[in-house]
Amino acid sequence: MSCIFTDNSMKRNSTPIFLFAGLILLILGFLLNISLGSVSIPPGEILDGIFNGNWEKASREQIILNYRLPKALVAIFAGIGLSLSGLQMQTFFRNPLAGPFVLGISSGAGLGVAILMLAGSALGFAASGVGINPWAIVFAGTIGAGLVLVLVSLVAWRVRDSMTLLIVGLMFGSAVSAVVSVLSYFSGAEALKLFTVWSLGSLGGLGWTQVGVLGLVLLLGIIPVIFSVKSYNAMLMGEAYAQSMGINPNRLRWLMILNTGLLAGSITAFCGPIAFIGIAVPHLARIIWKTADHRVLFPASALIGAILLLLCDAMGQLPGSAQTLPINAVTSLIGAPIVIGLVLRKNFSKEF
Amino acid sequence: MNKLLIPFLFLFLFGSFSGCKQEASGEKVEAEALPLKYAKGFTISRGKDFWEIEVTQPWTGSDHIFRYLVLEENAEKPAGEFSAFVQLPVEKIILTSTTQIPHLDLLNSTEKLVGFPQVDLISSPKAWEQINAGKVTDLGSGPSANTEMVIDLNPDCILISTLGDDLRYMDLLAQAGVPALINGEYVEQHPLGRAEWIKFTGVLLGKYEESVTVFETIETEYLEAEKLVKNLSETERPTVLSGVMYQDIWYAPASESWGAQILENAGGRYVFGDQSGTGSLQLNYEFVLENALETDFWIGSADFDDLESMGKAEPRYQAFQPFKTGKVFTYTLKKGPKGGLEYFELGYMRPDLILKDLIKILHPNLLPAYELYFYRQLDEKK
Amino acid sequence: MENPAIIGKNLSLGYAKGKARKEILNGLDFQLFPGQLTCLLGPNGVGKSTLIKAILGQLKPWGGELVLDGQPIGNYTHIDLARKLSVVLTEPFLPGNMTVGQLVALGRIPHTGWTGKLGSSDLEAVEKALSATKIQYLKDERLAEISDGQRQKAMIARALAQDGKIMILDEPTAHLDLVNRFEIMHLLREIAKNQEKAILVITHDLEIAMETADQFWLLNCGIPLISGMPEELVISGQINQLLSGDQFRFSMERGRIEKRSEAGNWKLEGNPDLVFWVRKVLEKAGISGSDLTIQVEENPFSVLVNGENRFVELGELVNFFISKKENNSPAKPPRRGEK
Repeated sequence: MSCIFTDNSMKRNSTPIFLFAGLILLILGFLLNISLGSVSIPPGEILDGIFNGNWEKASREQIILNYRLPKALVAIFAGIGLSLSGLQMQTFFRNPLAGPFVLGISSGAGLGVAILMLAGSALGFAASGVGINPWAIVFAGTIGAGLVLVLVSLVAWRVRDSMTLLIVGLMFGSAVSAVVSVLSYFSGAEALKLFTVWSLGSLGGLGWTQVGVLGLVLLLGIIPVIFSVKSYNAMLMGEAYAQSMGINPNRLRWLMILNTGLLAGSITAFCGPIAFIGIAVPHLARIIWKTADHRVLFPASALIGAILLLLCDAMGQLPGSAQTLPINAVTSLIGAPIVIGLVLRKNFSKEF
Repeated sequence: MNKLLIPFLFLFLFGSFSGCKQEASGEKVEAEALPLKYAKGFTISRGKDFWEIEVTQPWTGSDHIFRYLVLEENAEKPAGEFSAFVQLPVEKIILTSTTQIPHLDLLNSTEKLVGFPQVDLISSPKAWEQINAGKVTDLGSGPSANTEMVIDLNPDCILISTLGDDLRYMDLLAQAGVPALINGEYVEQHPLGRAEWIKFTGVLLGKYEESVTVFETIETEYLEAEKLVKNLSETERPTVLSGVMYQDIWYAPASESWGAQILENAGGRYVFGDQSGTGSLQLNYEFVLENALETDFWIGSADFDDLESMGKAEPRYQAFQPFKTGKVFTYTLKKGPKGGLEYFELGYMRPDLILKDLIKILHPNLLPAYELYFYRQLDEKK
Repeated sequence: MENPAIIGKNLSLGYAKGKARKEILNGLDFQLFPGQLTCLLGPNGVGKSTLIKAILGQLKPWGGELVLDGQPIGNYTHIDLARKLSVVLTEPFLPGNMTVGQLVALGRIPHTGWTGKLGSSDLEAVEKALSATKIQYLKDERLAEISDGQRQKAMIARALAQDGKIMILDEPTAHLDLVNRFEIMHLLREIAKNQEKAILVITHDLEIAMETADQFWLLNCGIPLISGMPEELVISGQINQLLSGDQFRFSMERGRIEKRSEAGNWKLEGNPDLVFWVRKVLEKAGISGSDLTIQVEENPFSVLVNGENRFVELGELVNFFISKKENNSPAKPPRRGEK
């Protein structure tokens, strides 16, 4: 095989090996994730239960099948989706600090959820804030993300400069956060608590149907990414060059906006905001695989994102204790040092 | 129940900073301490023609002491430093927490209420008569009562709860001549401790004796109900699950909290009884599954109309045994005209009713004639 | 001569923002021929970039015709245009961890399928581009680790690999040192000749362009585009159209821009090459002339002034004339603050 980026003799061997190793790690991470939790269950019992249906206690079956398995899958899905969004944005904006949070997508989802959870309480009509259907939350989040996205797109349609789009996205993000703050300020304890819990992020709050829907959305989001690998490679040299190579940057811009909106928006709606995965993972992929080729970077980022989120979740479960750390806190605690480390690297901007 | 979480956290921090012992200085005033049976957050002393109240635990973990003087009519103000002083008679009062509304009701002073933040939260019918008559000003729905409106109403005193954000306006109110007194009843852990705070309000309204009578009635009711289940053996006590799940975190009262204690007093075995603490527990879903999947009852499951909508909102609830057997109870039987839950309003003041409700649920044969007051069983369907 | 790769006829270009229309260029006529290196020269802001944008299909002509390889430019799709025409732009944003080989291979994007997988013809084109730019040895080096000149060659190789008939380069020598400037321009000339490419280079390097270009396009405010062989433009004096104002002129003898100065009144004798530089240094020193005879001798170099003062170094010669000038002029008043 002869790819653009594998014609280097050293790399011809290492790229597939790394990807394969990543896949093995992903499987190991998955197994580790489902065997660690507040309740310690021996791996033997887990396997026996999954394959033979022999559970020691009814609660064990519930824990593994209806909690840890969907949670692990959500970790994988969210890791993949957020990393792919981040990578697309970083390449498109040619900005190493771009990520799904940057275009205001996550804030948009937050606004949708905040309106659902807080507005009732803040404006004084109905809603005790507790009995909110989880589908309503997803719906509100997606609508919110979509709304902000439409606004950003309107700007993108008028302004064709990527950097301006980035700034506008940031501004939309802060404006939306301000609305959320106002809503929080006026809402009751129960509603506020509900929103606070949502905003801390959680991978384990989803039932199987929701996991299925999230998987479907992820699939829907990945397909256009696969078909635009070449365009993203061309985008590495900037919009002008990409255009000179027959790529339509406008089409790619819309694809990027819709795609990241769908991926990051739905993940945020389902799991709450999960920080740093979108920013940090693409950098890790670039450093490990030492390449800029999106045919390597897309699968590599997806793998690293999934593995990282599985590990973060396993850590956040604080195995053996009855308490759990919120996932957003864990990813931030791990992600922040990574990003700081990256920025402090000598050749960071050169190598991006 | 008051309104905000964040100020509460803030106060928690604040409390740990300013937690150093700060006795009110000044010479001691001649006064006789009146004993309190359960409450630990305040003291009452009676002087010749004045009352002295000390709030010793204004918020959780704080030992900052606030000293208040309540002066009888036509009396001389004694010497000494006070955080605030109230001149009787009090004709206009502002409350900031629904839990204080029953105090007025039980002391026949509801007409003295002139302002309340977010009146929609109130469920008391007596208070609503006042509201509907336009005699109660709504002080807004922010985390604190609207300070300008409070000053404008010029009440004889305002009771503020440290759960809200009113604390930081205390100095401002003092300057404006509005005595602002802290009510820290939520800090009490004994079920009767919270009810005993009616004596605090009693002093302010000049109705101390009445408040003692009211409290003693409630106390007697409570203790008598408690006797019913005193001698139950461990096996006769059903296991009880409590709380709700947001995402994958289960929020439930900690074992030393007010809610958990009433549960134990009602002859139940609280399934998280070994998770110590006085506030709320955040438990991992797994942990809850492992320990609480097969409890007999589920009491306190948030505001769902029926089992069907509850199971829809969170499908994982369906795995729990009380959900399957339909033994899910929650405190939403009585609501005010605008949806305020009476449990959150009257519950502090009437632990006897809560206790009896719980006994009725857990041991129906012990209270055959009693009808549930706060709690209701969730139906299968609407 | 072959058919031109690009023909512009009475072309006018400009930008429209809302209702305001701003015309930048009008009445342009030009032809770009395969096998030739054409240099576009002109001052900043005259509309060179606008012209390039139009040729790249990013700007619709307001009037006139712009024909690319027999077809009006508007008839081309993005991808078709990319197969005809490749570019090297100023200030590329490059990922540092890309290798030269990978960069060059990016040029094959218009020719590959949706995955971007390279076929044997693509690999051949990449190799050919690398060898044409003589950078095969850099193939596995990362872009962050090579010099600016090498990087520019890699960019040219990428454009070559795109395998269009036409290559457009926007100031490809801007940030390079002298040797690299010559190398790059000669390389482009070689490519134009050997591969029958029509190459258009925007540059400000008149001397190097003069040395290497087959055709000049001169663009300046207020005049139509002038095209022709550089030598022809020099002979006709049209090259001076580049220089607005009277301060500078193109020196026909030396093939370069020089400051216009009154011909000094010098009596200089000797080898004309040496005399030129001696005169240069005296002019630069601000000495307008002298009635003294100056004899320039070679092997070894020395300057004999009026048959009596001999100087071996130019510095001494300059000092001699400066002091002479000061002695002749009236005494200067003492400067303020001097004691």
